[in-house]
Amino acid sequence: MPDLQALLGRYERPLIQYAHSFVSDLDAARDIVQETFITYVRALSAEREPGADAPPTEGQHLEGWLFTVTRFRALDHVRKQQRIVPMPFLPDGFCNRSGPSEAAESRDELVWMLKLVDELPENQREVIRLNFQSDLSYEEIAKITGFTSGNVGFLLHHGLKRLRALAEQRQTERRSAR
Amino acid sequence: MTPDDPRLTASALDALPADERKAVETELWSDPELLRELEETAAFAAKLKRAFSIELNAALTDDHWREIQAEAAIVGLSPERVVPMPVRRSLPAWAVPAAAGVMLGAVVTSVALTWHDAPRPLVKAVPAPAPAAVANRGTSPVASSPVVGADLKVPVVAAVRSLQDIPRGAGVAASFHPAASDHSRRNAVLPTAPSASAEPEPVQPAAVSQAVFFRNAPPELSGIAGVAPASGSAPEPVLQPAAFRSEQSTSAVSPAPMLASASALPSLPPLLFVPSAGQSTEVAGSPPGPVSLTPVQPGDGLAGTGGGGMKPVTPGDATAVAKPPTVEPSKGDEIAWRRPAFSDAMSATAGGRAPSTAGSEGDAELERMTLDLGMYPTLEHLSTVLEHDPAPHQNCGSAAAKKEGPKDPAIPLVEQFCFRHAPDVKVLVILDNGGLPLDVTPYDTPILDISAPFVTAR
Repeated sequence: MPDLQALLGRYERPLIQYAHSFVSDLDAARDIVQETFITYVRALSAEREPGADAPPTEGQHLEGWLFTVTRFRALDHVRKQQRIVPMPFLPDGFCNRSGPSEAAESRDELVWMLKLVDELPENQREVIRLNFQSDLSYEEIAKITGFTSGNVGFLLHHGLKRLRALAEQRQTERRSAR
Repeated sequence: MTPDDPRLTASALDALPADERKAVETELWSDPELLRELEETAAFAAKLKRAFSIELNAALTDDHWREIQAEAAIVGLSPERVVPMPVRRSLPAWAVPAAAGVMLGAVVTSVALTWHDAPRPLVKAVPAPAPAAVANRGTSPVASSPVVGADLKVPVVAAVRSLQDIPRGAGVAASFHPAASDHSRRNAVLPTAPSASAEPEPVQPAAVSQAVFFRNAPPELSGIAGVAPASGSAPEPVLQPAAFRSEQSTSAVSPAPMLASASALPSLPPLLFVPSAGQSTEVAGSPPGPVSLTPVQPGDGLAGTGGGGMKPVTPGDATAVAKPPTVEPSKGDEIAWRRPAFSDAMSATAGGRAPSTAGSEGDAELERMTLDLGMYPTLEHLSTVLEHDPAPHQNCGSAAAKKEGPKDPAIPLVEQFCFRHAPDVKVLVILDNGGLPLDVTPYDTPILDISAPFVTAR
């Protein structure tokens, strides 16, 4: 069934990243994405829950559907675990996709910046990840998270401002420590 | 505009709609401070983007994909079905009024013809479905069984009324049918008994009252019609499928019918068995007797929400049933319920213990869990609805959806949000649907009121 993999395969990495941001466990994130895809497969077939809409099969609608289902699965997983584990940083499976222009930029600095993201409130963290990590628009994020588009803009704005403030503060602390 | 305006960040992220962009950019260029803020935000955003680009970049393993492909094969998803959906064309403006007019005309004509042809009473008594029809429905696949229908009302009412005639000491009637879960729908395959399939035997409505019984009625169930406290002398509830029936003497059989026990029959699908004439079952600890067993499918009017739908409670039905305790579950309560022959659905992950499957401690016992309303989104919805929504279930979905945000598109709205329907809804079955989101399925047919969830600890 090559078409299925061709259809869904392009979303697997962003979805795993997204699920991982909730569950902090790569295996669990993979399982969640697998569940999402299986749910999609069932939804396409006659096994769909009665009353459920047929899932989209292309474009942004499909992407939004997959992200939304992944979000529910991930939240469900977190609740079942009854704990929110701080995200272990740079687990296996990392790769460096930065180009030569960023070569001079210290990897440590980027890693350090991602750690700051985890200090943000959950809602700000989520919209920032969806925007910066998954390249989703305000409207797409709104559909997935249930926030209004205006709320997404508000959260992004204040999340970025907070991140910048944190970055400057840490920068100052580093300098003074030297 | 000030530096605190979210439009500034939206502009830096190139996320402004076209109609706003020009106005915002004009403002930005007129204020050096805003422009500096914009540049700093854009630079920081670019850096953050690079930071995310070095993060996790994992894909699914081959095993994951194999399972997905296997699932696609199981559900019969062919590649040609995975194609873009056609764009829905909008109807011309005149189409809807025209269609409405045609339909109205047809209705008027139909009514006029009926009035003219048959001067009969306007209100016509609808007879109960023939017993044979009930039995036949029991042999139809779940997918085709009716979910909610007026034709179910008569047998349900008959069953409920007959429940009131149950002699005390007979045990607790329970007829949970977890048919609404995906799991049960997948597994709800009728056992094929040669005799039953070749010649469906009639089910007498009165026999419904004897459908399922427990010996050990817990104390909290006493006081309910048809429910007696645990009695050590009562027979152990064991039910045999039709394939294992034994035609033996009728002398030693308790009048109480028996409940299928998952522990005794691990492979038995989650079916409700209704005794009827000509078949017999065996009671553990007592001589076998001639209680016959006929499988009944969800949707037969016995099991409530056949096919996964939810049946509105009609006041007439509800009044025929003795009222269970009116305590509604709330956070921290321990609720208990009965779920025969479905021990695999409730897992420890739902916050309660997995049902016991050992001997007399099997499904005949109440299953219990502590209701943690903060644990799942669905239960949060439940909490909200229980507390604030006096409306019938048709309304609670949209109300909850507004309050709680987006729904899981993979699950019908009604199953996500509608947990409180009417004052008569008393049964709440919580299933952990094999890793899928928690399936909270209310059972709202009156027969199920008898085995409502009981708040056993607070």
